Amino acid sequence: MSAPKQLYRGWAPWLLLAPYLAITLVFTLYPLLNAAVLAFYQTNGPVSRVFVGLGNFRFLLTDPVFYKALWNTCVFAVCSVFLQLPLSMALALLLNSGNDRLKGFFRLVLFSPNLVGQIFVGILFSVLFTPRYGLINRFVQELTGWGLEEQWLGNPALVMPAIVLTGLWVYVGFNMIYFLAALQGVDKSLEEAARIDGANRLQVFWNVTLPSMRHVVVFVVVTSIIGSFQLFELPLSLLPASNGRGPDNSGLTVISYLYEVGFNSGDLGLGSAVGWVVALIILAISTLQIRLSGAAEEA
Amino acid sequence: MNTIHYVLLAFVVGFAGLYARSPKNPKLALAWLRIGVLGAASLAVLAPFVWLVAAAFKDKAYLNEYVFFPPLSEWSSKTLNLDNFRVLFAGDPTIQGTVYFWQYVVNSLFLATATTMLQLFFCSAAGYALAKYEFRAKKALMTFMLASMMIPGVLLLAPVYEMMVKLHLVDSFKGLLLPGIVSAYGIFLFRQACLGVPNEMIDAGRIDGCSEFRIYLNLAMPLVRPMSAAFCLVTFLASWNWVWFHPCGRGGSGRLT
Repeated sequence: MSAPKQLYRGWAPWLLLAPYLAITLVFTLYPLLNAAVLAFYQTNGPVSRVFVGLGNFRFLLTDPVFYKALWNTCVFAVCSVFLQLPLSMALALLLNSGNDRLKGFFRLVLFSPNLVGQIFVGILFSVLFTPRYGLINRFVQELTGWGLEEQWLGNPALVMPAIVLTGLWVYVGFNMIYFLAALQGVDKSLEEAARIDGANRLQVFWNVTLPSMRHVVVFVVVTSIIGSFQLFELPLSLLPASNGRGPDNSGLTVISYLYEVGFNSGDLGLGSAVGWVVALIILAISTLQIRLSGAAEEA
Repeated sequence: MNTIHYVLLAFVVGFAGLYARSPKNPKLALAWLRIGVLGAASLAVLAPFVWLVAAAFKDKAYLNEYVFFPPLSEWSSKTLNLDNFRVLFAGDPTIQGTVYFWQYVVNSLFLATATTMLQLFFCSAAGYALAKYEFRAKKALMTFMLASMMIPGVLLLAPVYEMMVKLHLVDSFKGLLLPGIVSAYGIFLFRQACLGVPNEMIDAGRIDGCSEFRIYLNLAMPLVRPMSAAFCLVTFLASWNWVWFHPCGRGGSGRLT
């Protein structure tokens, strides 16, 4: 069903769109431009501002703390794509391989962490990681005999693993739902044909199933990377004592960095510069990703 | 060796046994694997929730004594009681007077409800306009909306905060509510749904002298009711969970024990 083809000349569509336009203008478009301008200023609270040209960007490129934040964020992004998504895919495949009452139950349970907020998850896990008494410490101890007294959130080497682990708990089920929906749309007869031609399960998955759900895979990969770069609430609530920085900035993400310089130190100008850098990185990665998958499709 | 190791070992042995029995057609072994792995994953997901429920009822002194609930033989008002809830609802003395927990709940409920209702109306109106009218600049508007969904929210955090200061919206319900009353995501959702509304019906409405607004409200909206229900659920959950992190930081869903 397509929309009527002739140009509608009345005011009706604009009236219906008016609230969106007004809100977007005030709370998206104007702030966006404002951020672009602000990035060239040094500010101190909402009152004073000094034009510094590219100074903010120059500062960022020489600030080791910013690189640390960028590194942590990339670690989380890599873990989401290469650890979390394969897990989601495996669970989706297992769920999809049978069709019984258990399927609905497992799906609901695995998705359930997404019904509560990130802050909630962060606070909950900060307790579960307690040395000696934390659920996770106890479990790891039972399994491997190590780590009962380990301070996950106090040891710089273990902070990122803890954040990644918490991220896994939340997002594996979330991405699994996407994969599951895509799997159900895969043409069964293609898989059957491949099986008859003598392909084993792995070959069928790699050569038939995965290519036919590539659009969803690309979408999930891109949104995962974008989500990783916006990681903020999880480390903030996991490490509330240090505003999400953790010992030696081991849990600092780029957005925590933005929050730190923009709101705690009061330099919204530098904060805006960080925001623009992050936005450009996200844009570059998404574009690259979509280009690559498009090129693969043509080849 | 302890219980967890035995369970893991039993699982692997079971799988190997089933696989060895019929390696050509490992249906049973796969079913075993499926239930086992999914069961383990579910346990991993549920364990923190169970721990949380247990922690809520355990007495403070016994919080770390038992991993989850104490064994049945030790259930008593000393180990399990409602003290945590009593403290929670007792109220918190601050400089502005005593603040009760239910006030946070009411705040969150009010905000989530208001956001959902307003979004339902504004998003569906805009979505309907984008689906059923041809007008100038429509393509550009759609592109802009798609692009705006890609902007990281934090980029806007600082300037929006400045905006709030300018508009005197900091620390007020209006400030919390206003930016959230319409979303590009919701508009897209409703646009897709409204594409399915038959044009003949809209034309019939026009011939019968319906105003454009009445057509939207009384003809199109009832047809996309299932989508509206799903949308309301998602939006309510999102705004209920979301309150904490906001340019003018207020309230707090505070649903911890």
